[in-house]
Amino acid sequence: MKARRSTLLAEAKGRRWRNWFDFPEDVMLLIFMKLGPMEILFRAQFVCSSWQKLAQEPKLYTCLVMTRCGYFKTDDYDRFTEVGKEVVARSSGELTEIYMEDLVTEELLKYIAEKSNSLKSLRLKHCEDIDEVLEEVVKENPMLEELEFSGCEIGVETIEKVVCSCSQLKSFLLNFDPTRQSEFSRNESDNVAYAIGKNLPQLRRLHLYWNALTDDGLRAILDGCPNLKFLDIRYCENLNLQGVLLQTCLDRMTYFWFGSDSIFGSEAEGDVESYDFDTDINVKDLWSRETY
Amino acid sequence: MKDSFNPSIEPPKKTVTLVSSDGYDFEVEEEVALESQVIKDGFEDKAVDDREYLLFNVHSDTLELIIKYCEKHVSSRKSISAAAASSSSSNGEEALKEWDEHFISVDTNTLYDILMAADYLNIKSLLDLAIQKVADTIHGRSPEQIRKKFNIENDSIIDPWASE
Repeated sequence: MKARRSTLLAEAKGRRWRNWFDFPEDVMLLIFMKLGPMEILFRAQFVCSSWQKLAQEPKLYTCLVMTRCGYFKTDDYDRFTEVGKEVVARSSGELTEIYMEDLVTEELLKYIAEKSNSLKSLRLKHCEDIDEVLEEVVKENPMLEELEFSGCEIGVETIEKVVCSCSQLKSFLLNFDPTRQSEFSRNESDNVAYAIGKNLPQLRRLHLYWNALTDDGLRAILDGCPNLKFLDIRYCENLNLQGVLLQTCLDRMTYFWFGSDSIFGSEAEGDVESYDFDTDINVKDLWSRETY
Repeated sequence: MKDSFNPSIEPPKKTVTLVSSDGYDFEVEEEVALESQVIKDGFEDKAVDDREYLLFNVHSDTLELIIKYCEKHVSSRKSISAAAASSSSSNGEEALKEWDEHFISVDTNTLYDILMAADYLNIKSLLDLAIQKVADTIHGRSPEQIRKKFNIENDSIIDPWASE
């Protein structure tokens, strides 16, 4: 297969130089994109000056995922805020996704509200004292399609306001953590449910884990969200969920969890995370309601 | 000896000649060469006897690897779609993934060459594979370790890790 050619092409003699900062910039950017903001900010940008220059590219900072793990000490709210702000600044408004855990501060969210207005996804876990600024973030980002508050101490009025200003939402997760939050009453929970039914006609996925809503609240959701396909109402103890109501859920939902169905903590969790709302791909059969 | 008609003999495969930067000819099947988007673009407009490509940026050592990769992918695709057509179960995709993983487990110099060639020839799946490998190599390493691994000179960047 290999034959030496005796033509004009001269053999490249000697050592071939491989210069890892002389890559075409688009290739180097693709590599950096695989690394993610944290890895770039904490490590890669300090390798050499050309990598540092490349690390200024806004495209690298469209998705901000910040957890304590690996980069922040237990109570280092200041550093978390500083790094978060740096990512937001570098994104130059191109930030579309945020997932943050534990160390989120009012200052950081305020900065996000000021600098970002094209967020599509905002997911927060274990956050508190953020009510006022959260309303601001949501107001400044009318394109939000995904919202998650898991184990966050947020007042019921704030939740209602947030729901009212997010008409584009396709996915909403309001998961209650009894170990860290004060519980909403039945009435409060139903009011949130009414707000969902009234304001989120495009909703496709809803998680109300450990919620105090009643059958009335659930009915309002089913009536107001015709596209809902993905419903998680596990441990909602005020629900009777019988007869027509149960049948409606079973008929309409492609994915439906209730009672004490166990789904989290299994390998299936990753599938929920990567659920694609537009094409329904990435979800294994395991998730269909036929398995229950 | 006289040729007798034998329907089981396939017509001769069309080939393309690829010439490496150091002047070696590689004759490969057309469909293998067409894995490269650069070759594919405008391929039909070229005269059949002029299907020769001078790859000034690809050394013969690298070109050999690239051809091996493309041949494997062409043949795997065929067997995967054949298995799908006869609806017999196949672990073709899995096996190919494993093969890729093994293929790209090379030293950093070779990885660099493959990456450059995949970019130059625009072979998307190979470019993705090589990029992921580089990212995996960088992942979790300190700046100093990265420099060492890729033989990069520190041009006076202050490294906050070095002082710790």
